[in-house]
Amino acid sequence: MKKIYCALFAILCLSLLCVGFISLVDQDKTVSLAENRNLSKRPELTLSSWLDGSFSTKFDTYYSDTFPFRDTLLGYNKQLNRFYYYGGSGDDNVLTIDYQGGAEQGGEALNKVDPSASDSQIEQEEKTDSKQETSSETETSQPDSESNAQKEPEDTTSSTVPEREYPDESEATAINTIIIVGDNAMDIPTATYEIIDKYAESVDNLADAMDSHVRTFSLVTPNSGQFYSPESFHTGLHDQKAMIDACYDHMSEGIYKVDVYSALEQHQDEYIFFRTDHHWTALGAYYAYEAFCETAGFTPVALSEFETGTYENFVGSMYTYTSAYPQSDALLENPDTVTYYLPKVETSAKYYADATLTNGIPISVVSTAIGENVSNKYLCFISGDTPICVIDTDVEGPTCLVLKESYGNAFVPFLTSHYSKIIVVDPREFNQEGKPDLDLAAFAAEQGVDDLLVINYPFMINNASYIEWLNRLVGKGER
Amino acid sequence: MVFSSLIFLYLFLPLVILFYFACHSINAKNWVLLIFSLFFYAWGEPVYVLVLMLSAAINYGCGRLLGILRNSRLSKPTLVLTVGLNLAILAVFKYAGFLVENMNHILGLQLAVPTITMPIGISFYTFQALSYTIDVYRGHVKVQKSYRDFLLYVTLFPQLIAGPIVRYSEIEPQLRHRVPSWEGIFYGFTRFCLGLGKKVLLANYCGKAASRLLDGSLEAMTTGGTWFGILLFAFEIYFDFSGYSDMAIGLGKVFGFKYAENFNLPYISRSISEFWRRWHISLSSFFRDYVYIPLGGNRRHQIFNLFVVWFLTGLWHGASWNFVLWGLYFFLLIALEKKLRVPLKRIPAIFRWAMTSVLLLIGWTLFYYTDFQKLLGALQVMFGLAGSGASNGQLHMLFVNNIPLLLVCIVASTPIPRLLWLGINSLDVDKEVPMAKQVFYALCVFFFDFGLLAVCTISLVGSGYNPFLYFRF
Repeated sequence: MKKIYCALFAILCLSLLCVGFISLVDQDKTVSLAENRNLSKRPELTLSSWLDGSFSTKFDTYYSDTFPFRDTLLGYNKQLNRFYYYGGSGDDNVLTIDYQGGAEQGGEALNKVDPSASDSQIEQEEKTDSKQETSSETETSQPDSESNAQKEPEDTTSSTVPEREYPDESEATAINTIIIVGDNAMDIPTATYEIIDKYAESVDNLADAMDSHVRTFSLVTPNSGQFYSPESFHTGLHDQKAMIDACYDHMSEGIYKVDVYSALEQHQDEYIFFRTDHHWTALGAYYAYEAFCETAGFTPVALSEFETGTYENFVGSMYTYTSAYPQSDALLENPDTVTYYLPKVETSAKYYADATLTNGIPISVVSTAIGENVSNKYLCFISGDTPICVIDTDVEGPTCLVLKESYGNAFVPFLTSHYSKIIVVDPREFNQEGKPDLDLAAFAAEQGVDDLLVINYPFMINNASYIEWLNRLVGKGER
Repeated sequence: MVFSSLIFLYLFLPLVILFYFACHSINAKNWVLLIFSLFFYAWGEPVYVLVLMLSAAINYGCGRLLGILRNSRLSKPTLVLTVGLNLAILAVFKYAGFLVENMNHILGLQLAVPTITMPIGISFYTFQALSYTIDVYRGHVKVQKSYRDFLLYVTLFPQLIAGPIVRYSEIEPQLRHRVPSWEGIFYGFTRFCLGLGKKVLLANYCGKAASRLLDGSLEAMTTGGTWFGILLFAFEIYFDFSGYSDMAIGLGKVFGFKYAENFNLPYISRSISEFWRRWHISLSSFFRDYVYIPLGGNRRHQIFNLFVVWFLTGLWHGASWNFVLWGLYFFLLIALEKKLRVPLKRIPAIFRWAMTSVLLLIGWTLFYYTDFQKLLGALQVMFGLAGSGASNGQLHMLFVNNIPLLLVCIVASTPIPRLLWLGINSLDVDKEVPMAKQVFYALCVFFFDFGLLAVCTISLVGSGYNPFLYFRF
């Protein structure tokens, strides 16, 4: 009997040892496709990295990231989550999780930068889209992926938050709630009214910095959670209507406030939001455009006048976030369809790394040629998030400047019918460490801007970092 | 390093076992354990490992000194000095910020609040070292001549970070002489796997769900959600803490050490006093033997003695007033139970259990919130005086998601698993059982261990799953 106990104990320990041995000698993966991120690299052992404890912390992450058979084990973990995140009985398929991260702290772009365009522009290289890279490109982008690997996922928000002494830092690290009900995934914003007030003030600041003839429009949109979630996810602190009202109330009189909310509410039975992605559809953006036209005094182009097309099988960000949970299978099995509406006028568009507007890279306002290999079909609108994008049209009209995160992308193409020039700026790409400076007032004056549009969805008006970046565009940042 | 990590499971643990069993002499085995234990601590605390060694050195030195000064007039001052030194180390590393903050507050000073991060496990190892010194003074144990052996007693990695608080008197004979059986080793390893399962498969998930319910803004909290959150937190802390104790006891057994039990199904208690006989036993017995009884126990000014013990018990759990409040809450309840012993006895056991459980949940609320404002708010929500109603759709969804976990936690807190376990484990002592049956049971346990390790690994790997929306090269 003694021998049996000894043998059983030995087998257990030896299996642990074997796995441990494999973990040390196997080839480490560097990229996790399932998670859409770089895996940690083995940290270097130095006296200082040992003493400050960073070596062991990084090694722990590295070890877990490159554990043998990790992908298989992650697959099993999804099965395990059937137990820990029970979806309910019968046809119910409910999930509620918190996701801590800066979903909108960074952007994603479609176009890959031509390497010959510039070799000193770090921010352009960063825009290289992973989905389009081939194996040879992986190697060329090596230096960058290394710097990215340093960023541990938990640190993403704090590393993009400018400075330690920044007053609202803790609040900037918002926790998103993501829920799935059936085959519809939604992210639920939570209001922090002090931050919403600051957002309103930042729009005031932007307006104040413009020439007196410039009209400033504010468009704050709700997201799908407001219309399709169980009641308590869109009431109280989650009530997006209340957030938008509070935001508009706090803005000064002179700002044109576009009632996007009512426009979308009227059409909530239509396909205005994706179920597997956190964005709205182009149809949702169209109703916002109608509301904008009403405020701005334009006549909107009727929906039926647009030439349209579709991309099938779009499974978006909400699936990526929840892919570790079995409830996400319902999203994968019921993908979205992206319908796009082509501009009615001649357009030519380029995007640029900074306000010098040099080395532009041509893009389509609405791309009709996104390959099957690009999973994020939402990138068909103005090519995703780029620092500055300039669209010239053959319309005789004013010039507008749009400040936006990715929610604005589906909206911008509709503006082409009314403006001769549309300049789209992503505030997240300027006036930070490693990113170019932009003095928006001077830039707008130089470009002869007539209308300024600030378009955001609820997570942004509750995001102190984003507001800081808006303020910095006109020198009103707190830093 | 923590037990519930892949590095520990797949590198540290098999290596220490390999080296340990490769050595023949107890001397070499002890060296292996000491070196691995110091590395274990240094992995998480590369600098504070020196504090650990210093603390051990002080108590070792004072032990030697007390041996020389035995029966002299100087022995008591030496003891007082050593105890003072130990508490000073604890005060500096654990309570400095708290002390200065309070001094500033009370005396209106403007002293800079030191930000010293607490060396992990300091409360445990200080108490262990302290118990040795006091026992030497009392003549309960012999003076340890070898610094290495004393350091080994303090730093043994199974119990270093989260207890149990092992007494030197229990360990002393085992430092030089251990006769483990393979049966004991095998079942010790099984005990480790069980503890790991409690921590990784129950406590971690309870904690995640609890923090979602308890950390949000007060306005959004519901009465039902807060009680549910505290219930999950109660399970989290129990399975976390008792899981660590199981892992320590199990690993101790693998290396031939016998540690006393630290938890004994606390949530079936029918009174608060019973709860504290079942919860973190090594801590309550430490305070009983080194504070309560020396103060006079129940022979003189018992209420005062109880007050001191519970004040200290609270403070031991953390450098924040809410822990003191938590301790005094138990002082009050235990004092009341002593007064009301007779009428309480008349209440049916099931009601006494229910009452105790509710009181414990309120206790865990005090424990959970280190911020008084938040605590007060949460208590108001729990009693329907604030927050957004009794329940809502969010709570409903979260509840549905956590039903299976909750059920397992409830069952795991009852004697059911233990009865199952004893059914198998009784074979261990009962030599009458036929060989074939013993082998069968051992194999069952073996596959159980294997499965548990596999599921824990899946969960640990899964916890590193970090989907990233924007992938930028």
